[in-house]
Amino acid sequence: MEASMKKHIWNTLIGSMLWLAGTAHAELVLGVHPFKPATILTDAFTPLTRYLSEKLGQPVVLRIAKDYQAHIDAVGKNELDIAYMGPTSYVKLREQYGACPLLARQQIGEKPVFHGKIFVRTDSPVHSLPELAGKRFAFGEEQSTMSHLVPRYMLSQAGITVDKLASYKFVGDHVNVALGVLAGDFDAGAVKEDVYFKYQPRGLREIATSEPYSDHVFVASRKMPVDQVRKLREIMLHMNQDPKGVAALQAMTKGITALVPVQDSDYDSLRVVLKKMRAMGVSY
Amino acid sequence: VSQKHSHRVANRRALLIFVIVLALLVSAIGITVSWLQGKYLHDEARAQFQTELALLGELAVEPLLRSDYASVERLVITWVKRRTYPLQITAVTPNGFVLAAVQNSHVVGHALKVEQPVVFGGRKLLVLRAVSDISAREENVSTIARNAAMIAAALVMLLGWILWNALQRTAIRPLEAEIHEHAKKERELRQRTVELETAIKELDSFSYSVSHDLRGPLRAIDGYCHILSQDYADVLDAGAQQYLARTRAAAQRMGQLTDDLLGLSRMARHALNMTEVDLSALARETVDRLSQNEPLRQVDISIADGLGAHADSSLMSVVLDNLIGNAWKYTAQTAGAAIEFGRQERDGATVFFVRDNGTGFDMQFAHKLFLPFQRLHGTDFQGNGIGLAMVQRIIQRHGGRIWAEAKPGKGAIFYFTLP
Repeated sequence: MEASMKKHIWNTLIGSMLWLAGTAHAELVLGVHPFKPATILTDAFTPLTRYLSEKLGQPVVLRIAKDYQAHIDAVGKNELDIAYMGPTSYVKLREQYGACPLLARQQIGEKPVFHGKIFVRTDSPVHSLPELAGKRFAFGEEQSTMSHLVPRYMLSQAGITVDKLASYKFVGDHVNVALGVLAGDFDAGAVKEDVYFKYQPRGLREIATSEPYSDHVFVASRKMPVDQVRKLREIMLHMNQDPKGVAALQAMTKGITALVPVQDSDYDSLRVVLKKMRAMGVSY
Repeated sequence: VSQKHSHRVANRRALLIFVIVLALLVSAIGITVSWLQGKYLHDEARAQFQTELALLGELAVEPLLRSDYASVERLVITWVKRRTYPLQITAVTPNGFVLAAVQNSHVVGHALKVEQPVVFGGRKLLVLRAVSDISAREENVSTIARNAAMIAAALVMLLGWILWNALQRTAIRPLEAEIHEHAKKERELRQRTVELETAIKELDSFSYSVSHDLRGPLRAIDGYCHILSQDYADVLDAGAQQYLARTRAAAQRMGQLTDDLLGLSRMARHALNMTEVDLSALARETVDRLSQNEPLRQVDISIADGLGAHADSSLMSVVLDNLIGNAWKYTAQTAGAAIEFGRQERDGATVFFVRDNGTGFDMQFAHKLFLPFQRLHGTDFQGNGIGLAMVQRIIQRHGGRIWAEAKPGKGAIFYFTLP
C-alpha cells in the first residue's frame, strides 16, 4: 500500500512537472457549453478569461463547444483546462468519465441553486401544467437541465408526457424557447429562471417553477496539477471580493453574486431526477 | 447725344429683360431637374431600402424555420447597427409579437417607411417594418440644386455680359452710328425744308405782291385808255382808236395773266381740306357749266359713275374744270367730239383719266405740258398756259401723280392718281 502510494505520488509529481514544463507559458483553455448563442457567450465569458489570465499570469482562451455532448467529451478527454458546465452535463461527465477536480459553482442572488420555469404567453388560457395537453411545447437543448430535463420531469409528474402534447421541439437554447413562445409558434416552453425573468416583461407568464437544483459549475482538467487547481479555485472563490472579479462575474450572467465552493453531492438531487427520466426512456 | 443715350438705355433694358427671361427659364429648368432628381433619389432610396430589407428577410428565413429566434434578433440588431444612415427596424411575428425593435439613431428628418413581409412556402414568418431617414439624401439633392442655381445664376450673368459686349460690338455701336448719321441727315433735311418753305413763302409772297401791285397800274392804263377812247372819240381818228383798243386789250390780257399768277400763288398756300369727294358729280357740274356757255356744241360726254377719292373738293373741282375744259376746248374743231372721264386699274393702283379725241399734241413737247405759261398750240386756242401747271401742283399736293399721252390729231389722255 505504501509502495503504491509512493508510486502514485511520484507519478503525480512527474506528471505535474511535465504539465508545468509544457504549459509554463502555454495558454489555458476555458470551455463553455452552448447554452446561449456563441456570440453572446463570447461576450459573456471573455471578461472572465481576461481576469483569470491576469491572476494566473498565463493566457486563458475561450472555446465554445458545438453541442453539449461535445463539451462533455472535451472535458472528459482533458482537452479543456477549465470548463463551465451545466448541472446535467456535469452529472453526465461523472457518469461517463469519472471524477474531476471541482473548482466552484455560480451563485445567483443568495443561493447557489437555480430554478426552472415553465411558462406561457400572458394572453394564454393555460394556467396549469395539466392544461398543456394538446399544446405545442418548446424545449431548449436535449441535455439542458432547465430547458429540457427538469421541466420534462415536471410535466411527467403532472401527467403530461410528450405524447400528450400536440407537438414539441428542441429549439437550441433558452432564449429561443422564450422567443418562440412569445412569437406564437409554441404555446408553452421551459427555461432557467434568469432567462425567464429577462423575457417575462415582454409577455410571458409562469405556470410552474421547479425545485431548486445546484447551479452551473466550473471544473478543471484531471491533468491540471493540484497546486494549479487550488490556486485557480482560490481565485474563483474570491472573485466577489475584487471589483474586476465582480465585473467579470456580472458579464457571465446577470445576477451572479459569487462563485462558491462546490462538492459532488450538491448534484445528487438532480441525479435522482435524471435517473427517473432515464427510466422513463428519456435519453440525454 | 440724348437720342444716343435713350437708345443705349433701351438696349440695356431689352438685354436686362432677355437676361431675366433667360434666368427664369434656367431657374424653371433647374427646379424641374432638381425635382426630378429628388424624386429619382427618393424612388432609388425606397428601391434600395426595399432590396436591403428583402435581403434581411431572406437571411432571417433559415433561423426562423429552425425556431432560432435569437439569431433573427441578433441579425436585425447587427443589421441596423451596421447601417451608416439612420434606421429603425421592427421585426414583428404573425401574432403581433415584437421580436426585435432596433434603431441606430433617432429618425428625425424625412422618414421613409417600408414594410417587408418575410414569407416562406406561402407562410408568413415575420414582418419587417423599417423607417429610414432620407434627409441626408435630400440634403444632398438640395445642396446640388443650390450649387446648380448659383452656377446657373453666374452663367446667366456671364452670358448676359458676353451678350451685351457682343451686341455692342456687332449691333449697337454700328446701329448707333447709323442712327446718329440718320439723325444728322434728318436735321439737315429739316433745315433745308425750313429754308425751302421760307423760300417758297417768300416767292409766293413776292408773286402775290407783284400780282396784286401790278393790278392797280393795269387798271389805271385800261381805265385811262377807256376814258380817252370815250371822251376824245371825236378828236381821235380811227387809227388812234385802234391803238387805244389794242392798248386796253394788252392791259386786260396782262391783268388776266396777273390774276392767273395770283391764283397759282394762292393754290400753294391753300390748306387742304380732305373729305370723301364724288369726282363723278364734280365732272358733271363742269360739263354742265361748259354746255351752258356753249349750248350749241355737240359733244359726246361719258362720265363713269361712282368715281370718288379722299381729297380736297374745291381743288379737285379746279383739276376737273381744267382737264375737262381743255378737252372741251381742244375738241372744238373735231367732228363727233367725245370726252370721257373714267377710272382704270394699273399695277394695283387706281388711275383716273380724261380722254378726248381732239387736236392732241406731239409727245416730244410733253415735258412742257405742266410748265406755267407754256402753250403747245400757240394762239389757235384760248388760254394763258397756267391751267395744267395748277392741275399738276394740286395733284402733287395731294401726293398723286399726273401725266399725259397724246398724238397730234388723235386726241389726248390725261391720267392722274390720288393716294
